[in-house]
Amino acid sequence: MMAATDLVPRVENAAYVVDLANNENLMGPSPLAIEAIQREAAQVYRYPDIDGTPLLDALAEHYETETEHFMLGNGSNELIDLIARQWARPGTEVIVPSPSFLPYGSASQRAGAKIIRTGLRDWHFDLDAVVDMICEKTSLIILGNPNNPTGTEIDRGTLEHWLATIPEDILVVLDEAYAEYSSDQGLGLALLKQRENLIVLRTFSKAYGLAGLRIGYAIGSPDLIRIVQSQRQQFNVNRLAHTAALAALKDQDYLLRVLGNNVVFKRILYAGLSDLRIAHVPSFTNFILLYCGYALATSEALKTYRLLVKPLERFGLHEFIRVTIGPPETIERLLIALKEIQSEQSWFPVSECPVSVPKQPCSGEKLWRY
Amino acid sequence: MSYLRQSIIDMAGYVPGFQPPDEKDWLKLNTNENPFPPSPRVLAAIQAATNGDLRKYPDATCRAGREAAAALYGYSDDWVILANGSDELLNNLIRASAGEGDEIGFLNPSYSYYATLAEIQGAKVRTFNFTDEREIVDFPDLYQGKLFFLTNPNAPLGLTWTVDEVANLSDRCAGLLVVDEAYADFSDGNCLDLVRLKQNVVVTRTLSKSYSLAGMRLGLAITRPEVIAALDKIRDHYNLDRLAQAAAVAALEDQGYLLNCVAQVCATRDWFREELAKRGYHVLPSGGNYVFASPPDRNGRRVYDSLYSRKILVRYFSDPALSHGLRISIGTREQMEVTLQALSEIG
Repeated sequence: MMAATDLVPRVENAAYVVDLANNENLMGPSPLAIEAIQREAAQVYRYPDIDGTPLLDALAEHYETETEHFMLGNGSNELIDLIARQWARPGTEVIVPSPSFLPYGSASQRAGAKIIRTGLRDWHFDLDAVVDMICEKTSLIILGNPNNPTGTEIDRGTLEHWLATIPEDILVVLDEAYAEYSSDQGLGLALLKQRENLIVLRTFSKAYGLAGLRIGYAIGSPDLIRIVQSQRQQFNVNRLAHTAALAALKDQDYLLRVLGNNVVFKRILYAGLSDLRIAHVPSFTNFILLYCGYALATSEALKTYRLLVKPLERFGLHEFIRVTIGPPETIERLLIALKEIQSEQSWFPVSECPVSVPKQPCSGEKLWRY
Repeated sequence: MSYLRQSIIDMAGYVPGFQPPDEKDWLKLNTNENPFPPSPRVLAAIQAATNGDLRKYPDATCRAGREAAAALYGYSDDWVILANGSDELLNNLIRASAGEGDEIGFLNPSYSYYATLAEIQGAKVRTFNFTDEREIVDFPDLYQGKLFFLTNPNAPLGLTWTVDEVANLSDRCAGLLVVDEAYADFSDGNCLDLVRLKQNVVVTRTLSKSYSLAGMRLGLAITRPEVIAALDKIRDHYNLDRLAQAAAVAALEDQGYLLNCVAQVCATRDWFREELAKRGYHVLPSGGNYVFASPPDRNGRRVYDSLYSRKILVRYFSDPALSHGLRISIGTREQMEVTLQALSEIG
């Protein structure tokens, strides 16, 4: 395996590094968000609105519900932490269907709960296994949908049916960080009508392209929101983040362009992966899981092409990398690089034709425990 | 909801201070904000960072900010941490040191938010009164609480303990002594050097006041590396966004601008205090950008209401120990002249 220091560019036009490791929106935020920050910058001497009420009101209008159903976090990371501090107390158990976003487990662990991990079935969470693991100590279930790093989503009917089997006193957190990219953008909100003890998380970091500003939000019943609010510090989100998120939310035309592009980019990527016979998991997000035989070696090799991707060995997926879906020129660079690595390295498999979804590695908590 | 802590269910929750809806018609001297804008270099740094790179996650370690603060205060980088407002640090210091049911202490009056943070953590609270001569009443020879907050200069009174007094206090604390220096830039001295000398001292600062960056939520702490490491473990890993980080570096590096603003505020404060005294007010000496002033009739509410009707907003505390006076933030010389004129009319 190549060392990270051997970063010799191997293609002529690869003068700059493209970071495809963090699922950021490569189009960036709406220009209106940028302008809004520039207009507001001179106001930074004043405290932000303590709750971010103008943004909460705008979210309520956007989702056609009331302001009391929303709260803001310094990224949805903060919200996960606040929820964990309240529900993942010592003596309780938290079920984290895995592999998933690592803070679900780490925040709950830090708060003192025991973490119970359940696995996948055909790349989707094994929801029956979650039900099997419920006991009287279970206080919280945290589910990413669409899920990171698999990129898969669970459909509305399945989730509705599953939620109905979860005891009412267990809080379910549905993290919809990638919901805008999914096939069912209204899913979380619809489920909130069905179940009281549910919190939906959303973020401006992904489709809205504002990862650098740390702003996410929770949606839930006013009672639940009040409890999470009581845990947070005052002024948790700064003035410019409020301003930018509000402008980004109001620019739905830009969001639609982002989402439209992602569909087109995904189609180009799928075609290229089929040509190279690289197996992959169909994505409902802005990233994709690729089967490359050896995650760490592939991500190191891609560095020599100045492409950064996420090897998933920490998630127990030692043969997979996760790649952000970018514009055509980025996809082309990625495909050229993958083609060369594939032809040079015996561990990089050539899938059968037509390309199938890769076989999911054996599920079970031993893979994802950390 | 059987899994919820009783303390949270019982909490009243935080009640935000009054913000007038039509803000520009008011003279706001109630939140200790600096009347001067942030350094032009800060605004330039924010503008420069406002681009497509906002799509990218920020530096989780906030290294540039730590380096700037470390260089400014003469400490190495591992003695410094930046945070999403000093509130985040105060919160995480409690979480790091006090378990549920443990005790923390602070002075009465001081920053009322300590009590809210203790309540969130489920920690018990013990408060101590103090005299105008800064004597802390009934403070034990060795205070056994896990943490003691000393707001220095004190808010809302403005009294400032000397370095020697704080050093002595640190010897009488079995747990951490957190010196909350939110207003120290307006004061003659500070306790930064004590961090080196005393094992249990933490100094916290904010960029909300002297640096005029309340809207960016920036605070920092200087303390021993082992305490910094604990705070780093507890915090949200992307606690500071890209623009806040850019602003922090630019602000800390522009000391010329800071010192100029602070000098003006302090000069206005000292003049305003004398003018109030001429009008029969009792005013404590203040190391902050505010004064605590009692009218001759010791009726804070009356003066507050009269100023309010003139669209001048100051801070009144209904607490019987404070209701005899008002905390008045120091604005520009012109704003304080308007305020004095109003006070003269009110009588």
